[in-house]
Amino acid sequence: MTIYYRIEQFNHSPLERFEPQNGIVNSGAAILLEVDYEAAEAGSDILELTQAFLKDPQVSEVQAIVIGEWNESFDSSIQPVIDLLIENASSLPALKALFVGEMTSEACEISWIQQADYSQLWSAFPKLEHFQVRGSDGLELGEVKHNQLKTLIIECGGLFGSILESVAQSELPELQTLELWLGDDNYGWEGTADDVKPLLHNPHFSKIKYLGLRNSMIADDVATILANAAFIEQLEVLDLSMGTLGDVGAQALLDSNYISGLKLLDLHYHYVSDELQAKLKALPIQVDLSDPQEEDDYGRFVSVSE
Amino acid sequence: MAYTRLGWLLIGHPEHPRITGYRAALAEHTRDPIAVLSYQEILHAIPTLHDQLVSRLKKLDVDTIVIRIDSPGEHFGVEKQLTALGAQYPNARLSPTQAMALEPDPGCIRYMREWYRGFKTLLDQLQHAAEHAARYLGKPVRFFNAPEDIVLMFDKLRCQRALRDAGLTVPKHLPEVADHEALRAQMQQLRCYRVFIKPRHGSSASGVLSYQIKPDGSAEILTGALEWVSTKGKAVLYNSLHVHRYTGGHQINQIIDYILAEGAFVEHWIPKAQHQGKSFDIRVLTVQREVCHSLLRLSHSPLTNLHLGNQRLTIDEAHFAPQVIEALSQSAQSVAEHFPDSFTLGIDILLSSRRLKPYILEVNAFGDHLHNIRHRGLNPQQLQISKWYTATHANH
Repeated sequence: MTIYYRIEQFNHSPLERFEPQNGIVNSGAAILLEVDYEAAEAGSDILELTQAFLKDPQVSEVQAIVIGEWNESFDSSIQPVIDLLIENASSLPALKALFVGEMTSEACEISWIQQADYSQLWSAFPKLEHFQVRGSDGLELGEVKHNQLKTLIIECGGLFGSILESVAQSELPELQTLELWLGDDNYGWEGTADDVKPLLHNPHFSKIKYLGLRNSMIADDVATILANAAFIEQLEVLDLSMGTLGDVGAQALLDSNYISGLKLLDLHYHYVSDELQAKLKALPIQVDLSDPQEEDDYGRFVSVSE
Repeated sequence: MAYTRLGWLLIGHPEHPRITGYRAALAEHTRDPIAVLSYQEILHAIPTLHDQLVSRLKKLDVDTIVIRIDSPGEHFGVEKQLTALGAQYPNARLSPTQAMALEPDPGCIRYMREWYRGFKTLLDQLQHAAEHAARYLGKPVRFFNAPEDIVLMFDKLRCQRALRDAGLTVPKHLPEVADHEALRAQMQQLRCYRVFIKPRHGSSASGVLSYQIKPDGSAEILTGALEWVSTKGKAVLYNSLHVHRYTGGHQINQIIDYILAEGAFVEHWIPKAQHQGKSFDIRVLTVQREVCHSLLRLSHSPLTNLHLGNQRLTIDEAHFAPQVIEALSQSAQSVAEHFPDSFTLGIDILLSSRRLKPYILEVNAFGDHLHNIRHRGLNPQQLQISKWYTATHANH
C-alpha cells in the first residue's frame, strides 16, 4: 500500500503553487515549491525555483512552505534546498510551518524519497511551530532543541534508529502533536518496541496531547507498551493506526488502566478480530476501527511501506 | 421524405451481454429489422465472405444497412481462429495448425501479435465485403465504427502516434527496445526513470506494467495485474485480478522480456491526479463527438482498470472545477474529431497530479460496455441508438 493523498491545505491555509513568472500572489497561502512532471519537462529545477521564491518581495510574509515533488526525488537529495532555506532564514522571519516531501507514490515511492539532514534547521527558524517530512532515506534530525515547535510529524516506510533516538532525546517543551510512522523492517525500521520506551520518559513531552505511533509492523508490541504506560493518561488522542495491530495489542489496550481519559483511540487499518472489536467499541471512549484488514498467507502488512 | 428504414447487422458473440443488451436497446427504440452475425460465422466464411454478407443483407427489406462491430473477446474458439488467421503471415511464432491446436488456458498472455494480425485481416475483409454488398444491393452500407478505425485502435502505439501527430496531448514514448537490459540502459540514458510498458495489442490491463528504477540501478519496482507461473521449465505470464509487485531483478527481467516480445511500447509514467486518497484516470465515452458518459476509475495501484476491483465514480461525484471539465471535454472531443467515421469511442484520459492537465492514454473501440451509468437519462447503448436515429433522419 502506498500514499495517494495530496494535501489541499497546510497550516490552515490553501496551497498556492509558486510560479516564478507570477511571484507570490497570496502571502497568506501555504506556498508550494514543486517541480512536478510538467515543470521538469519544461526544464524547471527545484533549487532555482527556491532561489526565485527567496527573492520575491513578499517572501518575508510567508508563514508556511510545502516542498512537494522535486526533480528526480528518488535520486537527488533535497539537501541543497534545505541548506538554502537555512542560509536565508532571515528572509523568512514569519515561517511557522514546513512540510518537506509532500508527494504520492505516483511521483516517488516513499522509501525512495531522498531526504536531508535538518540538524541546522532548529536554530535557524526559532518561530517554527510545525515540522513535517515524508520519507526517511537520508533523513537526519540531529539535536532537536526548539522552544516553539508544537507539531512534529515523520511519515515513512521505515523509521531508522538514529531518527527515533533524536526524537526521544529532543528538547521540545511546547510539543503537542508527535506523529511517527515506524514502518517495516524492509524499509528502514530496525528497532523493537523497547526502542519506543524512551519517548515515554522524555521530560520535555509534558504537553503532548496527540501521540501517533503509526504504520508499525510491531503494532501489537507497541500497543502493549503504551497500554501499560502512565504517560498516555495525558493524551487526548492515541493513534496506533495503519499498522499490524491484532488481538494481542487490542487486549492490552482493553486491559489498560490509562486510556479512560482519551478522546479518541485511533486504530483504523487493523487486524483485530470481530470479537475484540466489539469489546473495544463498548469502551466509554471513541475508538476508530474502520478499514479492517484480512490477514493472508503472507501475513500482515503495514499500510505504507515501499 | 419517407421514413428511412434501417437494417441493423450486429457483429459479435450472439449470447454475450454486449450483443443481447444492444439488441434489446434497439428493439425498445425501433421496429427496424435486426440481424446478428457471429464471429464464428464470419471466420468460417472468410474465403467467401462477400457472398455470405450479401445473402444475409438481402433478406433485410430496408433502405440503409448499419453494421455495428462489437468485441471478439471472451471467446476462446474465436481467439484461437483469429490467432490462426494471423499465423499465416511472416514472422509468426506459430503455424496456423499449431494455433488451431491451442488448448484453452484462461488468462494466459500469449500470441498477442498474431491475434492482432488475424483480427486486422478479418476487419479488412469485412470492409471489402461491405463495399461489395453495397454495390451489389444498390443501397448504402454504413459502419457504426469504421473497421479501419478499429484496426488502428487495436494498435495502441500507432494510435497514440497518430493522435500525437495530430497535435493532441499524449504521454511521451521512449524509442523501441528489444529487451529489459536495453530498456534499463535507455531509461538511464534518457533520465526517464518511471515508465509504463504497454502491449500494443492488449485489451484492458492485460500485460500492462508500471516500472521504475533508481538511477544508480540499485533498486527497481515492477507492478502489473499478472502472475508469473513456471511449469515444466517453461515460464508463462497470466493475467490476474490482483496487482503484484516485483522487486527481484531476475523476475523483473523475465517479465519485461516476455511482454516486450509480445510487441509493447514504453511511455512516460505521468503521476495521476488523486481523489480521496486514490489516484485515478477517466473513461470518457463520446457519441457522435459529444462527450457523454464519463467514469473515474480510482485505484490504490498504478493500474486503474475496473475489473481489478477498483472503485468507480461518476464525473458529477468528483466535483471538478468547470475549467477542468472543459479541458477534459476538449481533449475527448479532439479525439472524436480525429475519428469522424466512428460513432462512439471509449477514451481513457489521465489528469496530471494537481495541475489536472489531460493526457490521452488510450482509445477503445469497444469501450462502451459500462454498467449502471446514465447520461441524459440514457445508458450508453440507448444513447448511441437515439443519436444514430436522430442523425439519420436529420439528413432528410
